[in-house]
Amino acid sequence: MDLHLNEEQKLLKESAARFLRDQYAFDRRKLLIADDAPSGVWSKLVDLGWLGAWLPEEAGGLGGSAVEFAILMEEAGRHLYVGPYLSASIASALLRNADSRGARERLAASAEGERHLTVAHLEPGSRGMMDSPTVRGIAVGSSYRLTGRKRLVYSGCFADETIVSAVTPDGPSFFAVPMGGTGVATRHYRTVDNDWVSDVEFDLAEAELLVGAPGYASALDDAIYVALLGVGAEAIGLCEAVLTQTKDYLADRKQFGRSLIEFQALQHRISDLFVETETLRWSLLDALSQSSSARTLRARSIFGLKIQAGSIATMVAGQCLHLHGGMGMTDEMPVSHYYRRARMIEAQFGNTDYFTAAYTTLMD
Amino acid sequence: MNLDFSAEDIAFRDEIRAFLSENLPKDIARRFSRGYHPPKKDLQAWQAILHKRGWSVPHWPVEHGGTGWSPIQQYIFDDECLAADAPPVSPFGTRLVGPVIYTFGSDSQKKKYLPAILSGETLWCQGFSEPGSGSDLASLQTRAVRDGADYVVNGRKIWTTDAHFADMMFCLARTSQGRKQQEGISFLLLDMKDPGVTVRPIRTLDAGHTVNEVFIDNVKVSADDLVGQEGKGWSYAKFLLDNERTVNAFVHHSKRAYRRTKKIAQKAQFNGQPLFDVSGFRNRAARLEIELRALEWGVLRMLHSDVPDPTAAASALKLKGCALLQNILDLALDALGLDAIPFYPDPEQEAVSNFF
Repeated sequence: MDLHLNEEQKLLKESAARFLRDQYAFDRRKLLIADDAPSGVWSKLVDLGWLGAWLPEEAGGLGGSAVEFAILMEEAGRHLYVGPYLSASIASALLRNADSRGARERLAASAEGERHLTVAHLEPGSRGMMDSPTVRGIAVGSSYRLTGRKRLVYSGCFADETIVSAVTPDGPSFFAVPMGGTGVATRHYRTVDNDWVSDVEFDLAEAELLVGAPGYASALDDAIYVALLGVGAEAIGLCEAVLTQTKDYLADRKQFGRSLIEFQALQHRISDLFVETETLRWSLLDALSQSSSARTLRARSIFGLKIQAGSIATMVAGQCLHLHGGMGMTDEMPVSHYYRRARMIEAQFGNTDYFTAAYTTLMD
Repeated sequence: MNLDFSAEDIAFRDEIRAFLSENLPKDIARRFSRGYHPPKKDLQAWQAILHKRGWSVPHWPVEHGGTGWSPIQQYIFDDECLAADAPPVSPFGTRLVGPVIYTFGSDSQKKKYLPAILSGETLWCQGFSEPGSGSDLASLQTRAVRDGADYVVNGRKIWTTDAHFADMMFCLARTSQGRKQQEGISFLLLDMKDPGVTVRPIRTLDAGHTVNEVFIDNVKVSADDLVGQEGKGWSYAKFLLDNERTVNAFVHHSKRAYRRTKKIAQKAQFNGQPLFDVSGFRNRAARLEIELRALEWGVLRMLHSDVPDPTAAASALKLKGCALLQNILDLALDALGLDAIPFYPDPEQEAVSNFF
């Protein structure tokens, strides 16, 4: 066991931090999130190798692991990155163990930045990623036609293709559907935390089968692992950043003739938030330690991380918001953005109640 | 980054398990499993067995009697010992004063004290806190006045764990008044058999006897039993308290308590089904289980990487660890329901509940 980052991992972390500091500072981010599409820093992220950083070489990646992905997501969280990176990574996770040619080609094209993928899995009425899809797929010759509705397709306005879960007579499967194709109607909108999402309605849309029913469950498990690991690591960067900024704010702001940070009541609150943030990092190590474990073991650790991330990030960012006083309520202050992102991490992919219920089914 | 236990670590764990199942006396394990503070005879009997095997102070440097195990092996050892209901070796000699003596002590102090700490023949207690000096420890008032070859010590210590059976006390006493209150404190090794030492028990809310008040009345301590330099005791005390960054996370205790809680809840019936299957209970258990997994990695992280701010991280482990252990024990009490009510004053008494 050795929990130090190796040299490559340290370099990756430093380069990601430097890039986001330079290109994604809060003021610049303000302009980027005002755009209609998340194209802002995307090509630069691709050039830096973010997409392939954690994928094996045979999948067009750089031979990294879940650790590399967590490093990048942590830095993303620190700088409140919103955009296609997480959804594209979940698409890669879905495809990485599939044996179809279509899956392999797309994995490589995605890692190279040649084709942008996203995932259409959640539906109106779903509560989280483990809910079964109701979109129907029927075979027509060598391809399929999909009919039904999906929601919360991240970067749907930007993606070339979406990986769609749908039920066929053989069982649930994953398909590729071009975003602008016939029979694909989209409605694009924004999220509370400034991300870009779409609702997509399929009406006999032409689709290519990528993962058939026999591989569905394990592909979905892989996607869930990467999705939850992503927001878990992101939450750590978020908590550390918002806590640092809040400490600085309290040191600057004077009331009753002295800096607010001199009040012991506020110091205690800051200490408590530090402790909670530490525990989140412990949960991340737990989840990383199970990245290639058997199904139940991996699921327990990653559900645990999601539960901790959602509840701790919400608590830490919410307390930081309160510590900012009235200023925390303004859009101008980063803390309000951290809070919104934290609250969405809690909701995303299924909330704490959802994953706690799932966790209890896996207890010995 | 490598987050796996190695094959050697797994083999090591099996070796420890085998040792425990062959060598841990059943009666000692039974008494400890019932949650009573271990009596002196159990502490000494178990440490003698460990000492025979060379395992009484795994964390010490090899030249002083340690095992040379890696941090992860020490972690596994502690985990397995507690899981088997072995009473933890008394920490005052082995974890606290021992390292101070082999780091700052004179050669004659090392020769005189370390062998008996290793074997457990001499048990120690810690004379730090005083009635007026708790978290502000450096305000302590116990005085040691030099008189020829001795110091004459006078004062009062409180919350002194095991003082009622300890052979020796490591004691902080003021030898001079410094500019800052941390200056002028000395680190003395005091014989508890001295007639000037009076120990008064403090009964605690568990009706047990673990801690004491100690009255020190004209006790003579030879100047040979001053550790390091006179007046520098505060730095040795800080070394001692800093030495342990993970023990206070109580992770092995929490793991053991959680396993027991789960067993109780699986056995307890609630509306015709095991309590553990009732969703309200199970949700609470899930959250604690998740925090417990995290705590374990918090400890492993402290042992296996360069944590940016180790002092703050150690505080986080201590705070979270204690809160978690309390929450697990609360869940255990709730799982027991009405069976939480009977009181068992005697560790040898037959249980009146079917949960023990």
